[in-house]
Amino acid sequence: MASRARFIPEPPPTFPAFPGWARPPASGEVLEDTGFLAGAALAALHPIASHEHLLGTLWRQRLALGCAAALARQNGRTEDEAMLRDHWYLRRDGDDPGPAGQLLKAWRALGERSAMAAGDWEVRLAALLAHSFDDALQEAIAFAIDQLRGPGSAVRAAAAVAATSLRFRPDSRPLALWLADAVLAHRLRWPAPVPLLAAHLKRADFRHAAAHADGDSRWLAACSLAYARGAAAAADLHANLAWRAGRLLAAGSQLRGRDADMMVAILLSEDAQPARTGKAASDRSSRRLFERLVALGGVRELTGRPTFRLYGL
Amino acid sequence: MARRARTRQDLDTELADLPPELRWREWMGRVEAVIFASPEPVGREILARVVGRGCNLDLIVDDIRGELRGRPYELVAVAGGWQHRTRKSFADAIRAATGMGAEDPKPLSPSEALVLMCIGYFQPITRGELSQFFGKEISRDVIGHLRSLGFIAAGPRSPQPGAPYTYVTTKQFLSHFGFDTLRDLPDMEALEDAGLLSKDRLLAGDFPIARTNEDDFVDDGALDLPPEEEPWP
Repeated sequence: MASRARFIPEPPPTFPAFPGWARPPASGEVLEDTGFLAGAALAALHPIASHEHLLGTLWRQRLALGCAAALARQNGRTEDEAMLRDHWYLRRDGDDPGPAGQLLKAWRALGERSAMAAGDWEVRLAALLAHSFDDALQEAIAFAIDQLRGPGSAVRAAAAVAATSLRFRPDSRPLALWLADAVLAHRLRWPAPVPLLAAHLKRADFRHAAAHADGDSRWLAACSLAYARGAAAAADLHANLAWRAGRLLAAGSQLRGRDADMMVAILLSEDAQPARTGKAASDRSSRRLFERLVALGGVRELTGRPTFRLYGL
Repeated sequence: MARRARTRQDLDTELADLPPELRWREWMGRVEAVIFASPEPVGREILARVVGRGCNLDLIVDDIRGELRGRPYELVAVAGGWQHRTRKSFADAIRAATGMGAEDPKPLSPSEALVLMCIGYFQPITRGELSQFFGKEISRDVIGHLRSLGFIAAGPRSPQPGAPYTYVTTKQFLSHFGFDTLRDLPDMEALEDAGLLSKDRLLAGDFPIARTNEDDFVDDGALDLPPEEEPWP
């Protein structure tokens, strides 16, 4: 019997470890050189963010999950990352994931390549963030589009975009943070934005935003520090995911199931995956596949539940 | 999809051959016609299909509103779109003439309204959790009625035995009650500041929330909750 043609994705490239000197101290200290730290951290992140591999999608989705959870918490909602993931994956296609799930939807969309199309921002953001379409939204987006090119540092542009957006729409932090990350990606010529800012800005930082236009530098410092922290965390996450992806690919070559190759490719590019009936495999065979993958150390079970399990790197 | 793309091409949206005033009138007419013809609020992305690329829809809408001043109906922004609505002051006249609006064919009972409010604040929430929250069974009929009115829809499934669907509010809910976003729900901020938007903590009975409001609910006889014997969970 002729063996089936195997499709094994390329292993993700490894990047040099994040330099320890660019890592901002955990907390407590008032920092002077936030601009330097942000620049160094983003430069270290640059090769990861501009490389195009299946794993980049998963990486951005994980970061989006962190951002959405942080925003939901700031909005007074109680959904954490695990709950948001449940809301996202345990619904039928097209069903509403709920108010916090909508935030996750917006941030997952931010990590997609299509988020770079600045012309669509007005319509997409109004739909994603459920905003009324008014002058303020348009002004905020127009300013962001204006900042896509120009002199000055990328972080300064992103901070200015966020501050301006918060001035026009003080009610909508998600809008400001979404635009800031998108503008940063444009400035740094990344293929798709990387969700960084929202997860690392603290609630207290937002009161400095209003004074940014008057030349107050605390908002810029807060944004720089958030980008430095975000980039360091993102680089660490990518290193971890690349290591896990290597294990998944090693385990994947031992699988014999019908949908195994396709499932390995999906697991490389998708945050989580429930065991369900696939194209060629039954519900039960998909379950067995995941059990075998977990036994081989290829994937983790992410929820810790005995039922409604979700698997991912 | 392909068909829609073709019709969009067929319609001349730019109207380059018209002088600016006429072009503006034509765009205004188109926008108003589309909104008039639609049974539900019309979003911006739909309206953008009938006007030129350089056209500011907000100015168009403002001009249409200006023309409708003094008319018995107006253009209102609801649920992220626009809709024609009769002015509130004519409600009596309409009711007297047609009987419309006097009583909905199936109006919301107070307890159904309460369930709807609860879903609005604590979505996504399952029927079981609602029952636990109210301390009495919320019947499938209540949920079914709310669904048939289009106020709620199925959200993600809850990872509990039986995988019950959670419920979330719809755009129509926002439109019907005149909210633009969920943030406009009354006292949302106050509830958040008090940390009361936590479904888990409410269900765990951490807050004596019912005690403050219970009297109002019981007084109007809306809820057939036994006032004291049945402690809120």
